[in-house]
Amino acid sequence: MTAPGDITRLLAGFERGDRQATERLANLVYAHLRRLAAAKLQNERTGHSFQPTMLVNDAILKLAGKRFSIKNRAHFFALAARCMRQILVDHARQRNAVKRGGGAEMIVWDENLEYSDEKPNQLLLLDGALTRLAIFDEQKARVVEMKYFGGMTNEEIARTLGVGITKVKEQYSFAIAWLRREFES
Amino acid sequence: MTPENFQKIDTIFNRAKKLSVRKRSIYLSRVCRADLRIRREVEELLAQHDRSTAFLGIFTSGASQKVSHYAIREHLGGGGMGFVFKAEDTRLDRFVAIKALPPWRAQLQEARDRLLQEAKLAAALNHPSIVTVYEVLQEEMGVFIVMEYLAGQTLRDLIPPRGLQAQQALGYGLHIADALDCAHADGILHGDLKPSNIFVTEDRRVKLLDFGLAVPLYSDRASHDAAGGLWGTRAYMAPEQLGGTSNDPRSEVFSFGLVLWEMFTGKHPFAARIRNVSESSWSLPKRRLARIPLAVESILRRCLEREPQRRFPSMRELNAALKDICGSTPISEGTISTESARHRSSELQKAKAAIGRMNYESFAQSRRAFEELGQLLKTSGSETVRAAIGNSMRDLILYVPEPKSGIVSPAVRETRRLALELLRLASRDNLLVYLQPDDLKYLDLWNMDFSRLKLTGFRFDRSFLIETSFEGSDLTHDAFTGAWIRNVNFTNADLAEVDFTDADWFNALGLTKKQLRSVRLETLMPCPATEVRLREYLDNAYDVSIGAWSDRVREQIIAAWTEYLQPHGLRDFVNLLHGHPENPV
Repeated sequence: MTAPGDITRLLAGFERGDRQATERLANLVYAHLRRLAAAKLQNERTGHSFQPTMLVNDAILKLAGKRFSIKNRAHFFALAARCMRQILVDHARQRNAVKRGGGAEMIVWDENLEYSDEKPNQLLLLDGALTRLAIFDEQKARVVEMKYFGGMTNEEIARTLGVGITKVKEQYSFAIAWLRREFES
Repeated sequence: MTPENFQKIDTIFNRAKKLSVRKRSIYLSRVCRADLRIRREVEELLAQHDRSTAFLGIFTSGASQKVSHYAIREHLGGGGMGFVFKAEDTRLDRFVAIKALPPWRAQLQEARDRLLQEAKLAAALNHPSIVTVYEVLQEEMGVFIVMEYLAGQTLRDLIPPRGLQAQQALGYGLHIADALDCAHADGILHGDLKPSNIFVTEDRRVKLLDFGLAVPLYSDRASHDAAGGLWGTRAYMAPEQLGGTSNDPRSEVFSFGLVLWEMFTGKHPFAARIRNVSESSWSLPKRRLARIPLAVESILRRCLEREPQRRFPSMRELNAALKDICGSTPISEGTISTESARHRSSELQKAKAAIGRMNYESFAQSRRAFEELGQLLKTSGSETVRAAIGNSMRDLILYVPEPKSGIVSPAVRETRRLALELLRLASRDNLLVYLQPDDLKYLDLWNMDFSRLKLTGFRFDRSFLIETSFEGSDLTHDAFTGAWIRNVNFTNADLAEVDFTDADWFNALGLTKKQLRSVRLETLMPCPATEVRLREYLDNAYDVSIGAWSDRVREQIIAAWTEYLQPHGLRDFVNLLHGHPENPV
């Protein structure tokens, strides 16, 4: 477990751009998000669904609160978005292993991602497609990741990537067209 | 595809997507020249871009991007219930918006019927703030609604992070309320009111969109469909809709309250709690209220009541209340110019000065301020003054400084008592205008006068109620869970369905057997039977309020308990009730 002062130190390191601190912070965020997600997913019966972006928001409030400048806050969101993606993919893999088969699924691009463990395939397909997209253009894949898993606004994404909002919108619309085509083929 | 190609495709795609279909092909021929592979890639992506946000495109045939004489131009938005496209009416040569079912629903008869019904309901409404329906197409591909095309933004995109300017928010609010009022008057509920369904055109006109979940008023569709799925948008639903009932105009009053709140503050009022508006503890965030004008705040509180019966009973009344404050309230500087407005603002100044003098430091000062404020409430007709007093008195009642010596001082008690008096006056005996049902939880209330009030649904959980009067009050469905009730006057109070779980009774006065029978009997229990049990209570059950008190106070409580555990209180009644069940008392 982390000592109480630890997180402050890591956040400071993260703000300075310290690689090691960032990595440890990512681990921390990951662990925290996973606990939150697990709690959501173990609650009640099967067929859970929740909005991952809410969890990310929650985690950030808990871990960092208002200690960040706006710029670093956006960066931190991006970090959390990546963690969230990893967690959901892991969970979907497990679910899939349990479910087996399941046949062809209707794939729907849902702007307000509500993660439901009843459709693990959908998420795994998206994850795979995003990984392929990253080979050609990492930034586009990251835009989708931040929007979809982190619930970030165009403005926040622009700040994180150091580009204009128009650019973010362009990247997004291209990425979505590309992903859709991937899904169809 | 190679990374270099990818770059090229990206650039061409971004330029081409903004062009019309004909110009696109000219542009593509020019830039792609002989490179057919790139051209094909771009065309595929453009087709995806144009189709829909669904991964399965709506016009899967690819060839025809036309419905009847409408040429589909671009995808404008959409969700689970339908997609909206911008299209060109090739006969009348104008743009229209076309709503279509998402592909995975297009062939469902039920979904088609719903879309048809949506068109019918929306077409039945003729209001400048409701989107106009031109026609409905029933094609082989599905059902389509053709509507007026609007250029602008939805409120979802328009509201800045810290909210709109008050004037603007109120202006939009009025238009929305008016449109809903009109719809309700025609017997139609929108059913899915939220910022993304409210459009503001470039010339600042408000339009209600998406009657996809609209229902005839008081029809019997529940908010859950047969499969148990929830219709509508969770975050903008009223609690009773989450519970499964809908079709009540008061649910829409609630959704409207959420939208209005968001316009003023930029935030959903329940966002901090993951938008779980169904949770049992019910209170609006207090900190954000600074951004909301006082007069609007009391309207908002009434919209966002948990219990439908405490909200505005209809859109009409809400609409009237909004119009009322627009006419009478200085919403922001520059809107007041008339003589009466100046007069009101001087009254407001007076009220604010007196409010400032009512405090917990000096009772004498509070008493004078109290008289002044009471006078103002009697003479002033201004709703703003009323709201200013009501809101401050509520805060005075709810936020008492930590007692230093462990005892709430007489000055504090008395000041609070006066504050309650003013709150009654300001709210015209309807405390719900200012108080949330949960507000009185955990409070230590001495000598307060709640008599002849309608408190239905209030919670006094773990409150310390001493020498307080509920004489003749309507306490139906109230809760006194874990409360201390000492010398409390319940004469003629309506106690039907009241929850007294774990409440400790010492001389509840004026209770009749008849009253007691209407209480939720299973929640009644005898007083703690032994001193040991009482001490346990003080150590565990009351950790929030009493547990933190000094030993001296604890001893006082124990002494009081011992004194009153004489056969005066509730215990005898309860014993009687339980002892002779066959013999009604």
